[in-house]
Amino acid sequence: MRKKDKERRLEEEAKKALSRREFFKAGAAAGVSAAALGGSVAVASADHSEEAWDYEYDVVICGGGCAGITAAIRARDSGASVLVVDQNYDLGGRMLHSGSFLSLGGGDPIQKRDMAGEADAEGFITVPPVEDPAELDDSVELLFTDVTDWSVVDGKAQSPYRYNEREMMRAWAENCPPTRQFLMDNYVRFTRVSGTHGGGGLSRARAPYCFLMLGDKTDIKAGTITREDAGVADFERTSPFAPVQMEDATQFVGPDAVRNGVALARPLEFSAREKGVHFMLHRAFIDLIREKPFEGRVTGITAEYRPRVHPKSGERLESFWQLGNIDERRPNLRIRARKAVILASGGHAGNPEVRSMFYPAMRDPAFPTSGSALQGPGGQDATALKAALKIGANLAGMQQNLSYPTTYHIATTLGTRDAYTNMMPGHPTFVFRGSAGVNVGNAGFEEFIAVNQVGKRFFNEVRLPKRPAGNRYPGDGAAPGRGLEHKPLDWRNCSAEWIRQSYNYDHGLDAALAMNEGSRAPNYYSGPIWAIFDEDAIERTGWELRFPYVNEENGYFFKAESIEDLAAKIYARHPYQRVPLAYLGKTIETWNGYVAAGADPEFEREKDAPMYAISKPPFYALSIMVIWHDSYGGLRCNGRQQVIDMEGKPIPGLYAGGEAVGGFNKHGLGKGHVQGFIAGTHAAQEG
Amino acid sequence: METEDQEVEVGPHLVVTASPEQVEPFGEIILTARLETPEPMDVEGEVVFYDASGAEAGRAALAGRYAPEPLTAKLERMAPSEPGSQTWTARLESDDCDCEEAEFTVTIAPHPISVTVWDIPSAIEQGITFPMTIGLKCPCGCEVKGWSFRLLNGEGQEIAAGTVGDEPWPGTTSLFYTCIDLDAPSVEGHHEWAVVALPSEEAEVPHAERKLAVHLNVTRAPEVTLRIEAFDAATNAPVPKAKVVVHPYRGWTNEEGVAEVRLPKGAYTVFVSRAPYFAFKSNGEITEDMTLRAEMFEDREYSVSELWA
Repeated sequence: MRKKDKERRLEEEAKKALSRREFFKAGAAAGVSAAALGGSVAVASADHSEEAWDYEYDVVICGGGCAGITAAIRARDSGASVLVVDQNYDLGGRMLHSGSFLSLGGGDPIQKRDMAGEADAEGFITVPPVEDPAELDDSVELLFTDVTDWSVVDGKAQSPYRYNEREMMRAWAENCPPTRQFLMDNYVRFTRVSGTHGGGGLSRARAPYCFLMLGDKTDIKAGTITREDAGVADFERTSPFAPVQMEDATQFVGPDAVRNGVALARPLEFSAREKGVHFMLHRAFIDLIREKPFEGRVTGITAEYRPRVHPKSGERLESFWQLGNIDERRPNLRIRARKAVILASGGHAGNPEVRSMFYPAMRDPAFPTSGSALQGPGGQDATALKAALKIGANLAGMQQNLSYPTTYHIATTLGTRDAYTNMMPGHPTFVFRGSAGVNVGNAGFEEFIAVNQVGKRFFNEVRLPKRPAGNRYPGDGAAPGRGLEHKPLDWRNCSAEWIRQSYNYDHGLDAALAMNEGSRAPNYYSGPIWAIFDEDAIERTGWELRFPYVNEENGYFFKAESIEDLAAKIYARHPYQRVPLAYLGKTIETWNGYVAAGADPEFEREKDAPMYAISKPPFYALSIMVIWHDSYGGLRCNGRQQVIDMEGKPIPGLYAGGEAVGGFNKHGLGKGHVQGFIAGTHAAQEG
Repeated sequence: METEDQEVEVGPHLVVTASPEQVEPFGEIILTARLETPEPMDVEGEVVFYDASGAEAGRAALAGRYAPEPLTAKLERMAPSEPGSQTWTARLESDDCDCEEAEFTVTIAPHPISVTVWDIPSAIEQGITFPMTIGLKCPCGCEVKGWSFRLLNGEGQEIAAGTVGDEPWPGTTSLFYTCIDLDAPSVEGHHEWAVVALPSEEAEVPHAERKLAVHLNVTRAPEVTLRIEAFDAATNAPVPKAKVVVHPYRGWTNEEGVAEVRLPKGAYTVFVSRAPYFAFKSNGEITEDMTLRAEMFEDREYSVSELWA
């Protein structure tokens, strides 16, 4: 009786959550304490093994991003009790700072809606379909063929689909349409389909964005968001709700529509909390518990309390909503999963030691993964990989980290450590980056010279940020019919002649990561990279070198009265500037000679863009960041998203989804959501 | 007289070296402490380095990476700025081994003088007078107000000399400068001159003379006018405030997207650039007044949404 009372109370609390503000208030009142938990939802100290369990749930999910929250809702829908453990202070993972470009297909409901020329059921969409019906006429068979097409190569001469795991791809293709419907059933609204996301196949248009409508209040059920919450009320300010300011979606929806990952992550989070999923935040998943080291079921996890604390106030950061949160602060916990554990804690792009197995130069911690401020030091730290390997899991597609053409690249946003992800003040994690950065675009690279950690140039600057074309369509047309006609599985797609025509990779990034005079044993780090320019460049460009774009205190922007001062400041204040920029003065003197001569004998800059002297004080330095965005190698899984061991057998009770999973060279959300959907379905059905 | 039989046994001791032997002010100095022992020993500990004032300069763990080499502790840090030789010390902190504090010498080079030269026109017509601004600064904070410089031509002959003024360049606090007018060389082409900054005899600490190369482009008188009309390839709208570079001549497009550059007849490469466009480039011979239409294509960067979801 007591158990039922508590279950009922939790469900009633969830039902109170209607609008954003009401939900927030209700959540604050209903934050679930450890003491309040019990009964069938969670049983403290269950006597399941030799060591006591601190919590018990049917399904325990490591990570609250796109795969984790999807799996959580799906499992909860099937009646399972579900706990999501996340190392961050808030939910959403990378989904929250994403663009929400969610490529599925196979004849999914949004493709069909747009094919029929219909609007959404709520009537928000007032613009006609972006894509022609022929480009939306999709099927599971065609999607499966597309994502296993051995013949496709990208502009880097890599083959993105050839090495995809076939059973997993079949399951993914079959589950794309129901996953789209599932997301729609959980408050996610999709724009018109517009093209396809990288790795999502070449033959059809498969990706819409997610949107909300600007309104007087933020109300997930009604599909509205205030300008303040969306971060569009002030050009230089965002909100705790939206770490990345939302973008205009007029083109794909109509007036007053805004889009990005906020319109995906927050509705899913809302739904999960409403349905009674529990969350334990500030809690890093550490290890899996299996009955025997390499045998038997996975029975639970260990997790460690790692609070994210504001560096100035010393206060713990708190999630936007609290409904369903378990405020548990004991250092170490053992959490039992009666049915299954789902690994959805991300990839390894934030772990320099792990990612360096693919590219040793990326071992330098000077370059974080994208979204590092939002996610914190535990983001993308390879935990799932490490924990699963310890109990016998196998890997898949590790070489596919090198296949996506823009996995790592040089960002055009300068002057911030988190150069990939946009963020403005107003979000609690802005303090971890200190500056939004200045996006100079590709064109901006002609305004400066780029130097390595010893102050030497290393490549033609204007070619540094150039990225090879994606593998979306032959010729990079970015939509079917706009590029060359694609014939699947045709050897001509990867003929030597076609590769010669399509290859467009500039190796500026490789030059940036090369060893130099400041590289020291044993790691031989290449060190930071700097854009160096003068006052004339400011006058030419109008760059606004002020807060919040740059910050003279965070070590990623410097201004000085002389070149020698500039070098000294960088050496003294940048956290990864390990050696002086000893050659900077000479480099600039030489450069100014090249400018006067109109020729750059070292890197032939004059062939691509004009050159400008660096002579008028004051002088400036902005950090140039190498980004390693995401992971494509990871755990091997079957079509049920069960993790496979070294003998080719599923590890009982263990599932995985998203970037923790390898063997699928699909960028972004489409992979994570469908895999979470599949994993949640099967995990809940375990005995 | 000391003989081999009478050799004094030396206990464990630190030998410390500073590298480089003379380090630039605020440059990188590497301190390496080597523990020498009469017999191989297992020692765990930390070497603490102290600067000339006795303040702790840093510490490093004793480690033997390439056994059986002696155990060493290595500290990399920023050098101080005070020039001259200084006596620093190092001490081993270890439960395994007692040894005396070691002294070693750190030598800091004289202060450099930063020389900055700007406002030189990118193209200087033969024989005309042209401006140049020269600024001096000590990166270590010494005031260089009124310090001297010499200007040398390509043959090393002094063609001007002067001192910087008493006021810092606007927007700076200690970059002292002067503006001078100079006669352009009569010979067309590239000229490399040099500005030599001279330390003041009244400076409290030694400074090193510094020489900076200065590049001049001396041109013939202009003969023709190149008119450039920059416009957006997609919309046909004019592109104002675009940079025009016809090396060595430079200019900007006006609100109508037009720039006019006066130049001698000859072969040129024309660049027109402005964010967010690809730089427009055209090569050719200019023999008479002409108009060049610069079609600007947007360098459309994939949005975050397009690249990643």
